[in-house]
Amino acid sequence: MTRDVRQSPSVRYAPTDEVDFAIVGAGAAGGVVARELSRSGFRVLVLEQGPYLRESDFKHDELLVSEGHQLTNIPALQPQTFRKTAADKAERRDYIIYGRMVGGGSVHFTANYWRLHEEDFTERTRYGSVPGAALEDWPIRYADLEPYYTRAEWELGVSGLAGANPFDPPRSRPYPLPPLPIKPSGVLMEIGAKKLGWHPAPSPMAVISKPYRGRSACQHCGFCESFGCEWKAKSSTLATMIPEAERTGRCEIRPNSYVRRIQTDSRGRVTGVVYFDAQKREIMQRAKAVVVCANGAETPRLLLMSASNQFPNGLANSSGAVGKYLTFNGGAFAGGLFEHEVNGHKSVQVSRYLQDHYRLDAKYGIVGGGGIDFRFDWYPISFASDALPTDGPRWGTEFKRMVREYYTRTAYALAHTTQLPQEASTITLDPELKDAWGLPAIRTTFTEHPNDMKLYQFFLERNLELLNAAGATRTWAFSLDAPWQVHLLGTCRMGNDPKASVVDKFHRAHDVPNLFIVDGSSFVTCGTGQPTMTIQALAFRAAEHIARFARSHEI
Amino acid sequence: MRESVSDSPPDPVRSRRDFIALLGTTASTAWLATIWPPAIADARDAAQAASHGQTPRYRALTEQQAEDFGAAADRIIPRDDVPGARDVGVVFFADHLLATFAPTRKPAFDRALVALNQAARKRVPNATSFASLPPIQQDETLRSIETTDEFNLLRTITIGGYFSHPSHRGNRNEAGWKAIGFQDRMSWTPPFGYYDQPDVMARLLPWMRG
Repeated sequence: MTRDVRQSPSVRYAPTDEVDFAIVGAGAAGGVVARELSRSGFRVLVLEQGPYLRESDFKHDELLVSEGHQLTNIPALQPQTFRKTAADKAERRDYIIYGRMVGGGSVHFTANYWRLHEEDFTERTRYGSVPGAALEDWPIRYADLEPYYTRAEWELGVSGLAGANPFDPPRSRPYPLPPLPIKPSGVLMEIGAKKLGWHPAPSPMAVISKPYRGRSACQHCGFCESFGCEWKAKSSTLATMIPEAERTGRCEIRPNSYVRRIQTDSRGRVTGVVYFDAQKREIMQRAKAVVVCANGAETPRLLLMSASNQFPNGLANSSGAVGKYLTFNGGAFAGGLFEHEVNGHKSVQVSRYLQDHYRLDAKYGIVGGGGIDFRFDWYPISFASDALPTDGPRWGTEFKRMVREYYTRTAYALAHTTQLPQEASTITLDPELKDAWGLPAIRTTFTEHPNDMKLYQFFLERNLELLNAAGATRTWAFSLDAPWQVHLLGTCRMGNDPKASVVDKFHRAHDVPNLFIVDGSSFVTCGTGQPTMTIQALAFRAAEHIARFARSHEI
Repeated sequence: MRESVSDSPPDPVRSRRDFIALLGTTASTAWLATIWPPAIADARDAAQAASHGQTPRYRALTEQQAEDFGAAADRIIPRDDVPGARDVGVVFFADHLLATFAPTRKPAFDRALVALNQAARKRVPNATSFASLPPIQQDETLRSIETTDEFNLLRTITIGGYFSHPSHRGNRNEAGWKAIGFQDRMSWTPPFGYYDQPDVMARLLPWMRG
């Protein structure tokens, strides 16, 4: 699994070379920051704990990505614990899933690519103080981020139709690529939404509908979610940003490099990072500045593991906010059976979405809202295991008949919703369990806010309503309890107040002038739906400011 | 939501990863090296067979386990107008799974078959094995344990063997995929199904033009 097939790496830095920037994590954010900083003339080293895979490593093999964890964190090496509240004993459970490879989660994500809306940045102002929730406004507004949303769309390659979603926030440019073809599930959503007076639109997807910047268009093979794209049509940082960073001759991607500590000096400045190489040798890499892009679980873990006499509660954690306010986005899920062939397994998982309930009317007494897409993100094993109506047979002749009947004729409605940030929802270091390198395991402490559950229930009802309106001959709901999480948000939130946040609005750690943090952990609130686009827009914006600071010797 | 398997949380939203949860906690990257490409293991089988002068059978399962698991798998996914579990090599898949990338699951598998045979004897006291029962009594036996972790393990491995990539030795001739209308292809072109055919869309979505 571990192999580095680069023919001619553009540059190699020695551990004793003091690079301008060491970036921890080559994922959705790290890939963007690496490309931007190296193109700005800086010497950049990216340390990635996972392997450097290529398109030829990707297979249409469900067991390889699920059982084999080819693209994600590996439970056998990186066990985790989970508890609902701090009063509970944490139990062994692999609750957090993230991309563990060059390209990170942008390689295996479904590629839904939603902007946040203006009101996502000001929920505290809108809702005031909500009991039990730590709502805050962001220190930036949608208008600050809009140019970078647009840059992300054009630099990475996103397909969509500007103006089609009447709830979309203002944009300065149309999408660079037209929408992908409507799928049968999209037609069904159009039918149902029309009856209900809702407003579906072509889903914005980070999958290119036409050739773009030397990459081939989507061929509709259907293996997007959980898989890597053999065609390079999914706009992962592996297919886009990272090769461009390497072409500068100033950026080294160093895979199989697992950072265990950020090193600081007596002045409280970062001097580099200590990492394990593929042979588990500890290496100290010197750097003038460090940018942590390790995701909303690994980033706070690394800061907490970097505690020192000077930073006893963890690096950049004088506020105590590192690891807190963990959110994932919530959701609700329902299925529907239709008369004719839907064949959801062909093409991207999603072709239509709607945001009519992006902000619920005050009459419901529920904070936040969500969006709904129609999708099919099952593969044969997972479909037979779990996709059928929950009250039906699970084995035998009738079970087999249903699997055969339903596979080509089902569509599923998935809602993506707000979750309220809470101080007690955290990523911390497990005091007992260690990973295969002897480092403390991720311990997740998480319980939904009561508002979250009301929101899920609201959206479950909307999902069923929509499937029925679309003509489903049978519908069924799935449980609202999530077995695992993939959107890792809020654990190093940005803010103007150093006492209440970890990074400032330029992603610089309040406590450490040459440490920057850019990934889902920067989110102040999780927003309504799909976070990857905002993570990448933040990364483009942060990189611009970091480069500016570096040029003016303000780091 | 359907019953979850032993290692996964109860009643998950989408327990599609039950299969992973079931096996993943003990799997390691090592299995990739051992089974990918599967030709490595095949070559080893062939070499062993040659040295013993016999046809290769099972590496992890006993003959009786293969009989009992195969019989149960054939009730979980029976033959109808298309092949059943055993027809497509689910027993070989299970053997391969337990011999290579999930060997630490073998004890749980052994326990599941013990439970299966105990349940069989509970219904038919003089039964020599689950496999020896007629199908109706096999079904009664399975129904008596269908909410247990032991049954779920057998079900999960059966489904895995019926629908996984054929390189893992089940799903022979892609029979499992053919049964549900899935094809492993690198490309498709629209229309993908019934509803997105141009004439059907024009009829169903008259307000969408151009």
